[in-house]
Amino acid sequence: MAITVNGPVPDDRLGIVAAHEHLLYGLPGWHDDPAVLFDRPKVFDALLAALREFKAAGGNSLMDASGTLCGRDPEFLKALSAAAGINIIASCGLGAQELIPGYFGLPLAERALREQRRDGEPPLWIPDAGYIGGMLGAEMSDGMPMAGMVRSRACAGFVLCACSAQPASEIEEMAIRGAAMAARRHDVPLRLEGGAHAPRLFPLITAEGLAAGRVVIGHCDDARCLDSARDRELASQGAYVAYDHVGWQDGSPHAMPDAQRVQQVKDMVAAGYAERVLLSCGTVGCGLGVPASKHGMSHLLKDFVPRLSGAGVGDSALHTLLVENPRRLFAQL
Amino acid sequence: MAHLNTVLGTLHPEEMGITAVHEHILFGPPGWEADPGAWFKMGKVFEKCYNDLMDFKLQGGATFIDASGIGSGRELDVHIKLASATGLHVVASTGFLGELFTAPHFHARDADYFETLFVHELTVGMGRTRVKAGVINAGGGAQPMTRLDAAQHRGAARAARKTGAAVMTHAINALDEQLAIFREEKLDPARIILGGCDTRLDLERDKRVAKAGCYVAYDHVGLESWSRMAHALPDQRRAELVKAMLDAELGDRLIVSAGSSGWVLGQGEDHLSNVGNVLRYFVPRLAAAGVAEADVRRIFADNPKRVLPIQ
Repeated sequence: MAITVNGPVPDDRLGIVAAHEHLLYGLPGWHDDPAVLFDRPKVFDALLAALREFKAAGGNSLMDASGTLCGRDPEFLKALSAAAGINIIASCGLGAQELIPGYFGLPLAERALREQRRDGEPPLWIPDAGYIGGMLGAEMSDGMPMAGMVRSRACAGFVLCACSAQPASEIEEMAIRGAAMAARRHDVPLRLEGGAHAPRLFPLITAEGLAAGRVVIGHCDDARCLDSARDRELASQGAYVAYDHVGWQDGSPHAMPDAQRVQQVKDMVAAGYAERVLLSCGTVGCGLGVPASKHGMSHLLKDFVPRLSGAGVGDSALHTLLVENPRRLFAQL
Repeated sequence: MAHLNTVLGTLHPEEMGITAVHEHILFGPPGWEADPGAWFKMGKVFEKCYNDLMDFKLQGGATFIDASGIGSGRELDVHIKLASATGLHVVASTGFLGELFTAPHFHARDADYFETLFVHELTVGMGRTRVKAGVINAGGGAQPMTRLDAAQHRGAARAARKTGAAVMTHAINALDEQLAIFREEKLDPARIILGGCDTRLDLERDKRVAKAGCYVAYDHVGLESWSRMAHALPDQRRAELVKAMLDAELGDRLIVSAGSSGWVLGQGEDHLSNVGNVLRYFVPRLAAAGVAEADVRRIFADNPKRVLPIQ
């Protein structure tokens, strides 16, 4: 069962799933910038066209990975999903250090000041993994928070977390452990962004009791950190390895030619890990103060899948990658 | 022509009266709105802030400067409604209060970007509104100054020169670097309010910068030694600082304010200080310390009238 923005959908009805897309994406605070234009009806039309194209190419569902803070708008996604006839599974979670605003980080800085307090009183408030876990869990059970201090009735369907620091910063570790707690409690998938750090952080996640079969390691096709041995190792432990920037071929540090991704997929299939690979384009449909991607999410089905076929990946393996794997990710374990 | 931008329109400087130069209505770092645990009942919080502002007004206050910059609790619909409901002149501000108070969207930006942003907020309107900011904040107390802090200070200085607005700082421990940037950008010291001079005490420093033409702000009145904050200080010490500055004939460069918050986002009521208490408790303390009534008027009305309006 997957929780979409318009309610639960049985996992065997998800069909072809794009495992990592961003319909709306902006860094926290974008709405305070007068230079960022957000023409809501126009953006809706553009995203609706992209979703219809994805559907016409055979797609049925997508996982929106913008998380709690990066431009997600639950009611907008609900209307878009209904208009396009595409299942949208939204996410919650805080992301990497540089995406986490001061509200979550300031109390940590305050903790450093605690020694200077003469009265020994405890600080006013310190978030910890349990607090973040509870906050994210409520997005799955009660609905996702929106502007104006109200919750949407739409619930998040998976949790994401990320790491960009080496080692994970205190605040990232808190967000990762909290995400794992929430995912376990509500039995939903967890997506960890940042393949380079995955071998170190994967045990942190499973230590919270989350099954490996609920964990997706995203960004494994980031040109800066390719590692086929790592991918096989994570897959052998039961996690899903996502090659989820298909179509990002130039103009950005994580980009590389799709031909290399074809090779990654072929290697995993040949090593017997077809059942542990997820695919997606990682497009930014509407960039809020960041550029939108040049390609659309239908690039996966219109361009990349034919390439895989041409490279000798058979139809049954393709069905496993696009339909069976995401189904199993959401299915009862 | 010199004027003050309030959230309800522009004022002549002579209309300002007793002014609280550094205060906050809602205050907190960005991101709170994503945590329902930090949400509040708007009616209750509005009533609290309304009572605080009315208290200040009934003590003789007329103008209230909200120093919550971009993303740190600046909720303009609340400011506007409070201004019209209390009759106080409420001024909102642009700028940032340092790195932790700057949302990620603004992290990778440079001085040119911040200059454009602040000028827009002062001359066109804050955010997507047509409500103009009245003053520019510059914060950040890291040492050495971070790249972002420096870019924001530089942007603030350039926007101040371009628009004629004043800059109010919030990090006295980075003073040397702040002043170096302001000098490089040729910002007139008479447009600079150095906040937080009562968080790290140095009377000689205060005299030096005041002689150079900057305004010295003792802007944490009420943050008494019983509070949990590391930079708390008995108000009596603040009164002595004021007296010493007056004795050094630097009274034209003094600003006194509470730095209070009506509501701290995620934490609730601010029990540390209150805008009305400056006039209720601190002014009598000044009188007891031998400060003449004319000097009180100078600190709370004449100096704000000289430094704050857009020139």
